[in-house]
Amino acid sequence: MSEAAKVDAFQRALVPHMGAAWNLARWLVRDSADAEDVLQEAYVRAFRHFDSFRGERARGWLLSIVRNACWSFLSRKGQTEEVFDEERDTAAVVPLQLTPEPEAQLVRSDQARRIQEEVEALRPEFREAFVLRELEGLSYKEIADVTAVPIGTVMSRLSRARRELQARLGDTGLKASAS
Amino acid sequence: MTCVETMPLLELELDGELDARSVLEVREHVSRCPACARQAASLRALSDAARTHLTYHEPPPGLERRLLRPLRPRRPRLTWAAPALAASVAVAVFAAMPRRDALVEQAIAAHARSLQLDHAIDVVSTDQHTVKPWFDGKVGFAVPVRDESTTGFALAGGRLDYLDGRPAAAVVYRKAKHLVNLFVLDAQGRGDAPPRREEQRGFTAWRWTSGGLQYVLVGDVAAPELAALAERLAGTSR
Repeated sequence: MSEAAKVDAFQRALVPHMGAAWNLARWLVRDSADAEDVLQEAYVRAFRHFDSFRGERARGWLLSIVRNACWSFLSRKGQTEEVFDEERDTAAVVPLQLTPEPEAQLVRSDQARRIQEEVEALRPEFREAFVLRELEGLSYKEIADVTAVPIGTVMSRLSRARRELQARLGDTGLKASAS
Repeated sequence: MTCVETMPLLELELDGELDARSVLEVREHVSRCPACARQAASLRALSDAARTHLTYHEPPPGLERRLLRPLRPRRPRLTWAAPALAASVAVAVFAAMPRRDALVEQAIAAHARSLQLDHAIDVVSTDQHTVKPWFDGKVGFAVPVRDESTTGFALAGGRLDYLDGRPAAAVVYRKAKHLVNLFVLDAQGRGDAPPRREEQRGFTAWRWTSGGLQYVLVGDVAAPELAALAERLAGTSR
């Protein structure tokens, strides 16, 4: 296969998954310019290994390369250094104050903004699991493959993410936002 | 089943990761245990809220082109005198290339995304009288939905999409295993324009403007078939 034909085949295989790759990178690094740099790095890496790609499960294959690139970026920036401290981080979880009875529409947009902020504030490994599950609809097994951890770890990360979000958003807030 | 046994399984049930028998056991316990029922409802609300409200970040325009550019084979190395010449040639080539239509580019990307099964259709129906009202209140205009099954394009449903930063209605047709997306957007004051063909990345798209709405038709069916469909839709959707 000529180099140009390889680029074309690469492009065809990955076109349907670029949106998912972008969404994951954007959620993990939380900045558009950084996400583009990271995705660029991931695409170069993916292209280099494209010969060994057999055409199955292109999405998972690409997502695992993208998330690895994101994590190298985060660790370069020192955002993964912080070690989770059960007592400190759980103690910091305080349900947010709910606004007293504004119009329904206002409540909804406020809830939308808050859940967005709270998910963005999750530790990267919890955020990653949550976004892959809820936005990409990946199964535990698929998340485990993409993030290269055992399924049990996926379950506990998802569970931690949800516990934290439940605590921060509060039940009332969730009911209003889900309506 | 006890609460201690049930609690950890609530999430698995929510995520569809539990076997049928355990699902029944969990539901049986939840039906008579207020504490577990509360936790199950809260988990469900969180998941619904996340799916409803979290941003699915859309790639910026032209991203794919930028990502692929460094992968293309490099041209032969230039000598010291060549760079200025190469630059002027590059400018000339660039200027000579037809301007890529950003809307069509986004429509093609959205079409490609929709080929993943779970993103294709929000409302599944072969009935135009079900699909058309589904868009009401989701996009700021009435979406013309036509059944084209007599010409081989069966209506498959509708989906809400975003193109050019605006909500777009995607009317989905199926022909055998092929999917065709008709994107409909507010024309924002543009005048009528007849169908025009655009080729990008091996996809063919047709775009036209009619009656205050902009249309982009994308599909991976044979080119003449898509052209005929575009003409029919453009002729009758005004």
